Amino acid sequence: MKKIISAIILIVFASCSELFLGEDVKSTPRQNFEQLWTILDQKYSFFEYKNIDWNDVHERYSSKITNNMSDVELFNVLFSMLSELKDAHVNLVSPFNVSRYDAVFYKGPENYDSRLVLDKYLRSNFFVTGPLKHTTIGYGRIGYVRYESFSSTISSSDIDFVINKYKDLKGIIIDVRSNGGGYVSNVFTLCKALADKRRHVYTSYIKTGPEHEDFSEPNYVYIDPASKSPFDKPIIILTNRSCYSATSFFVLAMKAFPNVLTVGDTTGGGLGAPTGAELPNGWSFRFSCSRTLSPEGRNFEDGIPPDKVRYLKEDDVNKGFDTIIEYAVYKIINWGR
Amino acid sequence: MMKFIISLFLIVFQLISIQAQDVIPEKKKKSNHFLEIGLGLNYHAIRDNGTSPLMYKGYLPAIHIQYFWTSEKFIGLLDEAFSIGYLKTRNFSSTDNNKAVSYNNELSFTALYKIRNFSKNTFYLGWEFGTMSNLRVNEKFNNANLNYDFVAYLAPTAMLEHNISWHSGNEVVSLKKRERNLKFQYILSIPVISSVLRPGYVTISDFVDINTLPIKLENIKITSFNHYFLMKNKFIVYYVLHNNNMLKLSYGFNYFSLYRNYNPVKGMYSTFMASIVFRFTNN
Repeated sequence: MKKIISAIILIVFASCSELFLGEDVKSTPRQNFEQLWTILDQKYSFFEYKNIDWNDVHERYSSKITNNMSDVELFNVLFSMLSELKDAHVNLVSPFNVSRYDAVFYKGPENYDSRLVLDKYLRSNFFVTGPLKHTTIGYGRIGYVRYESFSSTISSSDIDFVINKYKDLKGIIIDVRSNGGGYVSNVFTLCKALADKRRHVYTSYIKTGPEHEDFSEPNYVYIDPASKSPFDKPIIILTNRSCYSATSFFVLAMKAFPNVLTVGDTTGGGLGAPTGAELPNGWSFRFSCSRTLSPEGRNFEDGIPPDKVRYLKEDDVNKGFDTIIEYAVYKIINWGR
Repeated sequence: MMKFIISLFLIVFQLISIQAQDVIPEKKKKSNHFLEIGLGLNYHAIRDNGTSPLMYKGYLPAIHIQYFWTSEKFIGLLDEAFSIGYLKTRNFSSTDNNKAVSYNNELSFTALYKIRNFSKNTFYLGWEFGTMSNLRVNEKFNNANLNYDFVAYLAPTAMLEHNISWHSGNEVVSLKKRERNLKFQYILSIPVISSVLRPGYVTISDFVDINTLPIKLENIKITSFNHYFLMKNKFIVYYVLHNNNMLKLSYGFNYFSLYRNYNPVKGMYSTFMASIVFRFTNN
């Protein structure tokens, strides 16, 4: 009897929700394609900046959609369509594959050799403070800090310890090469600890309507110093093409400070904040929905160029030197000359 | 439109107040106070087009606490209801992550004035001020994983009460007949003025500026049923125990729809609740 009553209640409830909220849209390949195209059309933030004709994209890919195509075939068409956006913040996630656009990371040489850094610079006795690996280099005159991922949470005590340890040296090198990003909260923790005074670091605009250029009023983003005695020595940040998303935010924010120099290669960019949504078949996807400009109004979505361009030279690597770190050491030793 | 609705509401509110003043005698009536604690199950379904065209639904354990007091002409109710659980889509599978954690909270105060008695029925009219908060966390939506609709509303409310009494036991064999009482109530509320807080157009919490709150208070909008429609129904049965405490069974049905920022959201709750009602005073 109890089972019957439970079954009746479940059936009544379930049918009730369809009655009031309407039935779910059908999950045909066509429906999934149109849903993906439309949401991006209304909410993606870089059509104008990248000069993408999204209607033309619809025309070209719509003809490839058939109602009897398999999930894998549909995924491949959608993967190709999303690649037109040339954005590593655009991904489609299905149970069997994830679409991506990695070309932003391969526009130049890697310019980072993790084994070389470990063997010749960090060596075996480096400190590990939270997600930060650090030691002194340049005959003990310079602090070297390696931060591999902004997905690893950094606490203010972590960075305070590092700053305090190297405050009497000539400067520090923060190596974020091949750091693919993560949480922007870590960017703020790091920047606040290094900030000398309140500075406008970038301006963000978020999509607010379906037209391609419907953006919010500017949101001026500031960094306030966390410490009363900030680190005022030279800071050099090492970058490469694989610095993406939160790492680009970090580099952009730090460029607002006068004692900061960036060295290496242009970052991968990724200054549009990604948001997420879902298709009728349950596949999720993410895409950029904001844009970020430097305080001067420049859009570095495709990458932030370094102040000093330096590439890793094969000869140097063979001799056990990291060309970019060696240049940073040289710049700090000769800072102001 | 908005001005008309507000004016209409004020007129209705004024009429109710005048009516209540007429029926409440000068000497203040003694009141009875009650505390209700209930447990139940909430069937929740929602379609939030901000992130998905799919309906998310599920059965959520619910708890309900109510404090209310009654006098001859007035009923005041202070309600708190909370439910939490998973909502899933039709695509849910144990290997996929198509589910959201849903937190739902309702807090309200209702004032009801006796308007009319006819036979065993009593008709009340009044108003309800309440908040309804629905928060959904779904990790698959990346930076849009936090989705919500927070509403504060003012609603005209009507209640119809029906009382049934009978005597238990066989008159011949029972020395002491006991009076049994059942009370049925139907309550309907439809807000006319609401303030609504929803995520922005792209749903994302503005993560590029950690200095700002993830939930932006400037997104609060005052609206009415042209943009936000909420209908709250409740069917209640009280069984009065011999010690004047009560057992209560209730079924509530709420439906809401909100159209703002191109991201419409529609949802419904059906809640079964079983409660014990403790009477504090015995006048």
